Amino acid sequence: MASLRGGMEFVGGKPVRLKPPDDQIVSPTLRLTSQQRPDVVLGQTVEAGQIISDPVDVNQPCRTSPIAGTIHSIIRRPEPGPVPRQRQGRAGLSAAPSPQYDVTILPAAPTAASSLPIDPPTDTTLEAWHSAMRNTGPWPQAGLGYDLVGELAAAKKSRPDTIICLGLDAFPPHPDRSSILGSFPADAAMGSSAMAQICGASTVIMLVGRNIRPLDRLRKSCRNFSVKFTCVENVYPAADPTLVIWAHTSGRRKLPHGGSPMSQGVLLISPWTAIRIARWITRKRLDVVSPMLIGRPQASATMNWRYTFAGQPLASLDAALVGQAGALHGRVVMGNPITGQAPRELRSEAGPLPPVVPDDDHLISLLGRSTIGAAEPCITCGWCVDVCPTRLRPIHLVQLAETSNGKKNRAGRRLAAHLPWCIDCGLCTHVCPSHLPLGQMLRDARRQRTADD
Amino acid sequence: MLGGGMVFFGWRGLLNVTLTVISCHLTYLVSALLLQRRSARHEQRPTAYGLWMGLLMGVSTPLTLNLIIPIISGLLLGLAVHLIGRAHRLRVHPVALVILLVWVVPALIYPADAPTMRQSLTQPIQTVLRPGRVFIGDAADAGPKASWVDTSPWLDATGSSDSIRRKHQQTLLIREQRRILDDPKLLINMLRSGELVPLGELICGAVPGPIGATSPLLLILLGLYLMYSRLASWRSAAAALVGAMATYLLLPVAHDGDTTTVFARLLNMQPLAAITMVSYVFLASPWCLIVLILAPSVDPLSRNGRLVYGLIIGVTVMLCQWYAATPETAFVSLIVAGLISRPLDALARSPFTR
Repeated sequence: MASLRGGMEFVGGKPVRLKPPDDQIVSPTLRLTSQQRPDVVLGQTVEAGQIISDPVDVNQPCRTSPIAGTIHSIIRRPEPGPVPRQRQGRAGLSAAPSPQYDVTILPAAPTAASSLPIDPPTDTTLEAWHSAMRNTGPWPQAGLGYDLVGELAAAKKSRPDTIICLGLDAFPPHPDRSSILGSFPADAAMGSSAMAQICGASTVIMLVGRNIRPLDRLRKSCRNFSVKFTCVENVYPAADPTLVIWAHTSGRRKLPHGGSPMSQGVLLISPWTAIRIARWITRKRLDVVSPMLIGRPQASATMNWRYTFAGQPLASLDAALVGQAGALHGRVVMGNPITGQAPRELRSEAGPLPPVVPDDDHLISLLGRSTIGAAEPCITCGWCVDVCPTRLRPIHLVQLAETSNGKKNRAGRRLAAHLPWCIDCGLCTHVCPSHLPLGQMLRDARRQRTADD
Repeated sequence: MLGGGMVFFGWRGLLNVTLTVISCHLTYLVSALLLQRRSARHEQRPTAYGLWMGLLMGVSTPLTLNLIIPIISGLLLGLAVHLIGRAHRLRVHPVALVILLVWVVPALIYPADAPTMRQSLTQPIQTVLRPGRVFIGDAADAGPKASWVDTSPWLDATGSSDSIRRKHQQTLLIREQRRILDDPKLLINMLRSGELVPLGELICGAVPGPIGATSPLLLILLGLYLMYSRLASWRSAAAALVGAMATYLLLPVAHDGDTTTVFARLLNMQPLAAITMVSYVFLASPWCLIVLILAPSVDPLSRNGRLVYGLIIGVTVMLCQWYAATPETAFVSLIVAGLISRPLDALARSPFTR
């Protein structure tokens, strides 16, 4: 990254080797989330792969049931739920909170198939694949914050010129993407290449960190499928979409935080998406499970992993995740320890529900004990400025936020010009010797701006 | 720094520092209370902040007989920290401002004779304790020879009194620097006569000056530690050194009726003499205290800003040392650089917002 400094080096974790999912996997009760009123009713029997929610907006993915079972309950959340991380821009996903429904499905059998006998589209056009993916959705991009179906809808209007399979780990000590990529290198390369053909992109990049194993196998696979293999030093937060697009595309493209990469002519896909597409093409079966890795706070600990259905109870993954919501609070986050958030159920004010596996992340981080000091006045050490990867001045932005107080005055305008480039990496909070929650304060300022707009 | 000051100034040094600390801390607490009552939005700092600032003030100012000086210094500092400093928009070092207000501004009443005015108003003590009386002696007790300057090496200083009188090296250099550059033999004579103390003693701090900051060696070590712990930026210090050196070499000096540069005069000196002269210029001045200890706390946040900031400080210190009559005037550099410290941060621009 030529003109960007900052970031922080972490000791990279050792990637784990995943085996392909078994044909049959234990199937617990699932609780799926639908962004609109489901098209099923209580007591209805559903088949595996059946659509339970078909959005009016054809650019949004359907919600399908991965298992056969019975609809046990449909609960509308009493108030609009927390806004999921959605990307704005030409992809057209709305950031406005919408009513959400929790659909609980009791499985018909103790085990369920990990993949469904659904043929991929024979037509290689973007329209055909968008339609097929929509009907088998959702296709969440783990850790990237948007669904592939929405991005493909945007691609129909304006084709991307670059596809990037983002194999860089979001948090180097927990190498979730490296593990998935290293376990299925040929599939990842094939899937990326296939996506480029579907979208008509001229450049396909496989972006990985230096800790990936086996490196040569992946490099060879990329060569076989004409995918550009790029191996870089993963200095956190190098995997952030804003920094990836800035550093690895032509023309220094600027993607604001929360923006859709399609607005910059880039389609970012997660490794599991590429692998899933390739396995769909080669096996004629669509995987309905996804790998879930559990990162532990100890540096030497190896990640646990297993294949899960979206919506299955978190407690079914690991003994450390068993417990009441109160016991889990502050001990587990979805995603990496720096930017991850507590499971939605633990944040809900409607009463604690058992947390379930999300469909938009492959990593659960168990947190160690941490002592957070009381905030003290800023000592202008400049460490937050040194570490900011987008070369902002976090402490000054926080002061602007306090001065503007949500109003559109001069301070507010200056804040508005800089805030989109805060990528919410959390490093300023991490390094501040005065324990100022800079990252959280900037996040609050951004939330307030979004609410005002 | 305080420990170093106790070696050469003993209990009087400790008394001066203590008075400054108490005065500063009490004023700080009382004014903080009043400000908090007046405005709930007034930013609260740790209670010990007044203590630490008072300590810094105490060790940065010369030892004085007039005990009103440390008390007034502490009082002014206790008020100033609420208005200026590292956490304020006006990032001017409060210690530098108070030093100027107490040690320079009153002397400007008679600008033609500022050193004499400084002497009579503040009554700085021009002595250091003998080797056998360090820590415990009375720095003001120079015995019957109080008016004599003891030019013998410090370790050889004998006598019944607690302290020996020595010339204030910073003031001496300010007064004689042009003459030395005009006639290099003067430097040799001053060294031989003991008027200019040996470099080793100067580095250790066996000279009158700021209570805790007479030893450039201690200041350099402390400055390096601050850089190592990333509380200070090596960029500022390096830029200050470059700026000071460049400025000093280009300063105009008269020689044989003509005006030339310091650089030209140094070239005409013996290499060892030139190096010695430059060493005294840096070591017998507040350069180390200003650049390594005080400047880092009010510097800009960005790397480019710190470079420019250091450059400005280095240049200004040298100009003050050349043209001003008292060494404390060099603290103007902190005022000037501090005033633009915040705007210098604008030099750090994100490529995303350009």
